[in-house]
Amino acid sequence: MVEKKEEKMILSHEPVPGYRRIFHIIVIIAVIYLGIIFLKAFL
Amino acid sequence: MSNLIPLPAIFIIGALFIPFWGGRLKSAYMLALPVLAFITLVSMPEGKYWIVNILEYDLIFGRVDKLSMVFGYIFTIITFIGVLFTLKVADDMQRMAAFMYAGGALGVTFAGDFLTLYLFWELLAISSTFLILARRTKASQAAAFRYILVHVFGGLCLLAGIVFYIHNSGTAEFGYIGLNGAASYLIFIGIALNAAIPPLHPWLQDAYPEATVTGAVFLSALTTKSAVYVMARTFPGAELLIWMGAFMTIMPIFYAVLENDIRRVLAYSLINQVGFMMVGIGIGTQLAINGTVSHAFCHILYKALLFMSTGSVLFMTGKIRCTDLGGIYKTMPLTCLFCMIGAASISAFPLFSGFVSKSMIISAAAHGKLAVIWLTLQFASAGVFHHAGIKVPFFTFFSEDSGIRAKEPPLNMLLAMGITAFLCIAIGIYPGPLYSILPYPVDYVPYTGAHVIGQLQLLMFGALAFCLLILSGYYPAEMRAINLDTDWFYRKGGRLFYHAMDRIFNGLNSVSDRILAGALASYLGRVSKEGPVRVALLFLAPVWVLVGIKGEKLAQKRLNIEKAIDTGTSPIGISAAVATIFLIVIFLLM
Repeated sequence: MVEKKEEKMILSHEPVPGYRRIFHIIVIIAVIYLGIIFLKAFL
Repeated sequence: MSNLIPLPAIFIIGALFIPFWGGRLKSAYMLALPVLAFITLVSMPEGKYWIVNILEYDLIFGRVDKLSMVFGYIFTIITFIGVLFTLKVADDMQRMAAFMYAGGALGVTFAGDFLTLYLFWELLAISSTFLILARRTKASQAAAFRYILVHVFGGLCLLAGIVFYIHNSGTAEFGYIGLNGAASYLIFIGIALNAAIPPLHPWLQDAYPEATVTGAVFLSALTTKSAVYVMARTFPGAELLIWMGAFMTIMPIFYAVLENDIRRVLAYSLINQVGFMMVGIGIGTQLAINGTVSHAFCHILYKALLFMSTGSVLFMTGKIRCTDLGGIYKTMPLTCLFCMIGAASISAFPLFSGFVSKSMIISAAAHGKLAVIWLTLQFASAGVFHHAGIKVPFFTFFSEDSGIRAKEPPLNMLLAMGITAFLCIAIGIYPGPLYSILPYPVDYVPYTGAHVIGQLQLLMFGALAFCLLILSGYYPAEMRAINLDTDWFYRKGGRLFYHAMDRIFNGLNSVSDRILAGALASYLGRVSKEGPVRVALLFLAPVWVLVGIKGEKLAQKRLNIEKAIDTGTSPIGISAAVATIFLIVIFLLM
């Protein structure tokens, strides 16, 4: 009897502990950095 | 020059003889066709050849100038590479369709009038449909059906525009027309559909991933780039294209990130890249047009390389979804390497082809002081690195080990990918030869310190974003599903429309049937049968009552009248009386 292999329906990406905090910090820094650049460019 | 064989004919007529060859001779014959086309191409000086007069119109099959030559070169090169890639695929239908398709693309490129253009435009649509059908799956048949329907619609728009244009202008010459009036907008819609400009784009990510492994290579190279060429010739400087192109660079990024099918990711990235070209055509300066043409040239190569490498994975494993793949680099290292070269090229890494072409368009936006467009293109550059530069090789060859241990594809496939990869790097390192064949003189220098550092910053931050999104778990999961965008309107909306129309019109039909064919017909039948009896009794019954006929005798009289009228044997007196009454009524009415 041939056993039918179940196909993976979803490829989820589980968070690695600690990286969510790093992600948020970097997003905040990036937003501030871009904000300063835009302010300097357009004001 | 007219003694030479017309370029499209080399492929179109050549395709007809493919089934008559066998074994290695067939391979040699198929490889010889693009070589012959290339030799013909380099022998053609600028001018107009192969002019045929039909119905007072000059059909020009060979209008050669710098713009058409660049596209002629790349279409011929990619045909050679595609044929080399397809040598081990024993399917003459695919091979013939591929050559017809390439012949159509060359026909469009060298057409000197709109009627010839339309002829080859339709050949492109029909022949490419066979490359989708050739996969012979239910999904590919459905996709091919949708594909040809959409392209027939686009072709009809183009034809209507051409007819109006010839009627209004009195010329069929294929050249600059600009966006002014109904004719030009119809032509624009026809071309925009083939260029996959949103919202006319969903046929691309619907059909290309369903095509055969080799078919996708040809498809990625010819249809949209033919449209880019036609757009560059007819609508350079159309401002609308700048905004449409900019939107086109952004919109597919989000869909590509969600996609599970690797070839659908590539299809979205194709739309993104054509968006850059549309922006260049819209800007319309010499730098922008040069950028568009060189980007089309490079894009055909690296996109074909990406479709070949992912196609090789599909060919060897039978799988193409992120959920099924991963860890294949262990057994397919060369294919993985070629895929990464294609990914680096599309991401515009310094020393790869995309860097020397895409930057021309972005610089043209900067020179034109189009700040919003410049920022949009930068964002789109980061986006394309994110999905085509990282996602495609990462989820195909690395990521979680799927346990698949497939071998490298056959030698001809590796060779085709190797040649393409070499060209991607060669153009990136030494863009001089490419710049020398562009339509306008080039004084653009891609390798400046600011440009290289700026691009590397963009790419490194893009890579950082990808890593952080994956590690933090914010990266959207790939799911075994079909994501719809504007194709919702004809895949779901079309079905809803069909059901709504079915309910409304078939409901009306049913009600009409019941009223007209059922109740009304039955009523009229009864009236025609009983009417004369009732009319006769209406006048006779009061007379009988007045003369004293009652009870059973009256009932018998009624029955006699009914029987007499039913059998058509009423007494002459009664018939005369009825006729007299009828005449009196008619007289009164008049």
